[in-house]
Amino acid sequence: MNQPGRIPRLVLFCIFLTASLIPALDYSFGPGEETMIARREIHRGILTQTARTPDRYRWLAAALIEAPARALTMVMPYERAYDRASFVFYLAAIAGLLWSLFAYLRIWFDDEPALIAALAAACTIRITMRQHDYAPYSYLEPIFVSLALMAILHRRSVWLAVLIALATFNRETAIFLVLLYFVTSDFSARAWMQTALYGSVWAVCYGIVRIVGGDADRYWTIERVWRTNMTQPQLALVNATLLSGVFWLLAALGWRHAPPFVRRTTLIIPAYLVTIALWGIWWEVRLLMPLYPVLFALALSYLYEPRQVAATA
Amino acid sequence: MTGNDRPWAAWVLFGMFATVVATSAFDYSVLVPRPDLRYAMHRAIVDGTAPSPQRFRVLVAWSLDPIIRLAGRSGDGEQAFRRVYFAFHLVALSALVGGVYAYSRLWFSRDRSLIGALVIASVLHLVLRMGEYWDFSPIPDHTWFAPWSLLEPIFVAMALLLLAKGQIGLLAILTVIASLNSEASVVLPLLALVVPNQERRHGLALLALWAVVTALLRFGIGGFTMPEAMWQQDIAHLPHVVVNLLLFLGPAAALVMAGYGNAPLFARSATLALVPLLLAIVVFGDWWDVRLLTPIYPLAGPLMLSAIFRRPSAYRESF
Repeated sequence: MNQPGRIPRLVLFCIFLTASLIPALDYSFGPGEETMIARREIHRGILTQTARTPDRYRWLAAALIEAPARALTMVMPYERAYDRASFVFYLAAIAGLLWSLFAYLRIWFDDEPALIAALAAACTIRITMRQHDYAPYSYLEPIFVSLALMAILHRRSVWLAVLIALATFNRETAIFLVLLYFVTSDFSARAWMQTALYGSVWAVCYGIVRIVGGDADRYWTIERVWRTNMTQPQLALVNATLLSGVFWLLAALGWRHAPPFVRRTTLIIPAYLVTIALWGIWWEVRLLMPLYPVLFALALSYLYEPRQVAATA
Repeated sequence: MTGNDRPWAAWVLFGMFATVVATSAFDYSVLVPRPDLRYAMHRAIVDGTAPSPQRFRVLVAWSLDPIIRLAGRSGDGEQAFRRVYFAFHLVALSALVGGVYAYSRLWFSRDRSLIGALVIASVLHLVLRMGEYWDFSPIPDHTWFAPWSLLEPIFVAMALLLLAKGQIGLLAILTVIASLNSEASVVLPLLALVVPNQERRHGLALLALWAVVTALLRFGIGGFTMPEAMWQQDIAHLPHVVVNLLLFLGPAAALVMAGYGNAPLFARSATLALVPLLLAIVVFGDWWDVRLLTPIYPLAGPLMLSAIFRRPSAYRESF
């Protein structure tokens, strides 16, 4: 039975699947043969540990796609199997992204506002699929952030450690989950210890990835990244505007109304933005997706009265 | 109502509508393989030399051409064309989503109506696509320029709102304007005939008005030819048809169907007005071109919401 005021799970499943289908199809098959070939090569490079840095160290998405792709090779060539398994991955990842965002926001707001935010994210997600060849891990990152925030709020320490470990195998930016725990804590001695523990989980997993992966060629040096970013800063601005539009403004206005926990989560924003400003291509706004839970929680706080939930871990 | 919502300023809603369609508007305006074909079709409609039936879908081309000329006086005409049409696409798509919202709002709360509008917004890209999902072949050249399709659902939503408020005079003006947009505007007088609590003579008068304007336009511009049945071509493209129809509302189509029996009588009756349009598409239309189905969007909103939020006793049937 569904609780009163709650949207039935089957309905949510239908809505999230609807909102994910076309973006997943577009991202999987839309970019053209050249990009598809590049994707397959990078994927193979990750599996054989010959890809360039940083892709070489981002195992999780490649592993998740490889298993069903291999199963499909019984009925079709590997290239087609990889493309189709990738589509299923993107569909599941985008639907999972929307679902996890909804689930996190539902802690603070009713189902309807939370669903509005998730659908708004779905409508604009296409802009995150531009100007790069391969980034399946980017669609898992916001899921980890939402789930980590839920684990922090519900004091599920073991779950949070598992999430940090998994997220590290996805992308090195999982360190921000540790930071999220820290900034939302009460800064007590216990919180410092827990932070150190979560940091160790990240360090061990990342250490394994780096040791197994070994040294890799680095195409995107900081200097090259900076030069590239300076060629079209206006494109970064346009893409960031298309990504969240009015929700940027609503988030800024919502800060004052947001619950203390949500306000604390914003403390990671400067560090995160500096990180992607130095190492990321600015117009690839997929890099901003991990901020979805923070951004939409703030935006909804301007539009709705948030619930008061025990705030510190 | 959710019980903890604050009143919203109008800019919040407008901002949301613009945000959720901005990427689609940008893609549809900029990421077009052959923009020159669009420009040529626009010019041909303005000059009255476009093929039938595009020649008679004059509303957008005639309305935007003076602006394009003005904007292009100091430079590149094609660039002015692209910019003016981008602005049009952004406004029209925002209004389309706003139309679904406003019509759903007759029965549902602000938040629920917004959910309905956003579900529609999330699938909008399908009708704006430049390639097929079945085999990723490009869509045919003659379908690259179809600005009238963005206005059709807006007119349908506006007509439903006017009917709900009993403003037949304004609906007559809307019918004339929509007749200049495309022949799918026949849905407007049909809506007046099928929704409850309307005088039939109003619907018949609107139908006559639509027929007169449509005929005058064709006689005035000249060159009208009867469309040919497309059966063979449609059957040859059956995989495209199936994929596009399944994607049109995606799994949310199941919600639309599930909500039908539970929906307000007005919303259920309104769907009958689409029957002649759907029959015309079956006979004369490209079945794979689900852009022709955009008038369904506003009608789908309340039906879908009736499945998600079942509260039949709360629906009002007079406005």
